[in-house]
Amino acid sequence: MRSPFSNWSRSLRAAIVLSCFLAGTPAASAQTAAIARLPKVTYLNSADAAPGVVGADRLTHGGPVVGFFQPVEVSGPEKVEIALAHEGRFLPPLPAPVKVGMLVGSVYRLRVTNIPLRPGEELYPTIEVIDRLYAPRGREHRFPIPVVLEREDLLQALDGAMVVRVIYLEDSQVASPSADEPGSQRVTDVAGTDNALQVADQLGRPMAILRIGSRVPTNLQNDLSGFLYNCPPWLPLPPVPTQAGLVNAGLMAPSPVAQDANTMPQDANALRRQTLPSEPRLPVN
Amino acid sequence: MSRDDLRNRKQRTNRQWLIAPALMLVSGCAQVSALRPQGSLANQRPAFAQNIPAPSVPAQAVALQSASAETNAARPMIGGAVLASARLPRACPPAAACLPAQNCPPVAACPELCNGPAAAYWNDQEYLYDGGDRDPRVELTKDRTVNGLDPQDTIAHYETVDGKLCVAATNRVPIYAPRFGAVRKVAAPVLSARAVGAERMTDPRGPLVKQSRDLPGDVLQPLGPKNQAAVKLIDGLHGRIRGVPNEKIDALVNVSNLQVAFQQLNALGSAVKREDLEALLGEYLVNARTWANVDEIAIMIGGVAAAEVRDAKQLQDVTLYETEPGKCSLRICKAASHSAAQPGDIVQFSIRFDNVGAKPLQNIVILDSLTTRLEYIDGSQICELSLSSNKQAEVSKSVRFSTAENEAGSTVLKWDIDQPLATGDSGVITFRCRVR
Repeated sequence: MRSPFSNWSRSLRAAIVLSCFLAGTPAASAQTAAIARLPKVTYLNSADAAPGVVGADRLTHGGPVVGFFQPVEVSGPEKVEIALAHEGRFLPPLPAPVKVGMLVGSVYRLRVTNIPLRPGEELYPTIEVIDRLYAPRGREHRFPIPVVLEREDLLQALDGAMVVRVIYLEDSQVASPSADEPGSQRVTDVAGTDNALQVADQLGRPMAILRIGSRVPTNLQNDLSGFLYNCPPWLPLPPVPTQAGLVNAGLMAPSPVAQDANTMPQDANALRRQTLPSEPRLPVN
Repeated sequence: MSRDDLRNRKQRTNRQWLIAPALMLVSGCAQVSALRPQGSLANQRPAFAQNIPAPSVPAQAVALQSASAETNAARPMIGGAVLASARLPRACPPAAACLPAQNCPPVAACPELCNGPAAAYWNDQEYLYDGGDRDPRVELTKDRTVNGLDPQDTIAHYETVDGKLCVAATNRVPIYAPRFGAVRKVAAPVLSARAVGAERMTDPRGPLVKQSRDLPGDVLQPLGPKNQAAVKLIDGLHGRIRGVPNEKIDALVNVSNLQVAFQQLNALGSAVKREDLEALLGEYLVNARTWANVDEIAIMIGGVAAAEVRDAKQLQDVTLYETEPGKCSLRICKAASHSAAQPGDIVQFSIRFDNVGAKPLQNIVILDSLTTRLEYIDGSQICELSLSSNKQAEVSKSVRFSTAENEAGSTVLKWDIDQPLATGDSGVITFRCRVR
């Protein structure tokens, strides 16, 4: 049998070989260019990772987050009760909202009871704090990270779903012009295959990860150190004093200038004079 | 050589010519595939996540790191993951090295005492800014069209008697107002397993109950304790429970000034008030009122908190007047009633402008483009002029106020002041905004 190439000239065969050799080169260069156009970030961490992984990575890079107790406020539906863990045991439940200082990089297990429409049922979500705020000195407790336990999330978790919420700090430069309802939190839902941590990073700065599952301990009397992630320490925070509360408690005299910010000052001239000092004028000839 | 030998030789040669280009193609494809990343970057699970080795926090990471090598452009790395929008915090600079108003950190974040080794940090993302003139700068065309007015900018443009058009910007006012959102992901199992609360609590077959929920692959929890086993922070921080600034700073600051005042008086040994202590007492009383008043107005001029000087005998003040003709001589500054606000709070802004030149100014227009998270409260603006000449009766007719929407979903406030501003004349504008 004669080969189909037998009648081709030697130069033609050489051209075929050379063209095959060069065929891979443009493809390779195009691929390189495509790779060069890929974003320069690599999201190796995911919100689907085990609790503590992302926080531990954050700690390894040091900075002012190591050893810092970030105020966190856990709120939920009406009459929901939240119990914190201390020394391997859950404390008596407290009515929501609960505000505590949590270590950055640690995982805290809570017990949520008195869920609306599901009496007798309880959930054990975890909160992993992965970053901190830089509030003005003396006012850190006034600006906690809000962790909202929405009723729909609790019901879905009771039905067997795994709910993961990544709370992020919105970038004020690209903020949305819409106002938030008091007590609510704007939520962006992602698909099950998406990385919620990556989406949160694109919208702002991830601060904490809330995971709500239906896993429950078999016996609360047993050793719960593993279930409580070694029960990291937390700090209770003092309530934020209000001017009205201080005046009612007799700790502060009512000031005619320091009025409530939501009311219009009665004497706008008086307020303006105390706002900006007056300047002496040059004599006019 | 026989004809068969020649034919066989040609067939071998032809096979070689077929194999060679095929090998070339295969090697090229292998080269291309080597350049392609293995799998999708977004779905890669790092190797350490499989076994979750116990992380070891370096000893030097416990101490606060200096932020001198950090810049705003750098991004923190979390196990190799670069968070795209996160910015590193900046350390407070020494007070003497404070840059011009636009680059200074907020005074609330970096008070005057921010010079020690444990300097405070601050982050731009947590602040609202209003005022100043960001790049690109505002420019005025000959037909007085304003270009470059961005959200957050507050400027005034006016005309001198020589016909020169000038633009002046206010200082930048920061307000600490962080706002949060959440990204939610729900992973439900293929087989819906309903949890019956009563059964779960009383049924001793706990492991079986948990096993039925093992179906979804996304639910991974049992390896958490390993992750925390080697974290030494807990032991190292037992002694820090008392010294947590969250617990004590508020009370400490509120009490310190009062104690100093009382200590000063007690050191005298008598309760007689001396005249040379009146100024000192006055300062302490002002401090006490300031720190006890949660809604005290914060005044910042040039990025530095204004200091009040009290002297019962003589008022001393220095005012600089620019007397060069034709020079832009309108001074404008801005202040906010709050240095920190929660979403929903109402903040009052004040804009003051003065003619510090020797010639009158005319056709003054003040523009304030509010940032996205500030919502102007209709009807809350007040503009009052302090004129040297007796023209107060005509002031109300000479100021026209209007609003327009800006590209940030907020409002641009505009005051047209038809009344010329003579030398020494001034005006104050106040308005209120709600923090979204």
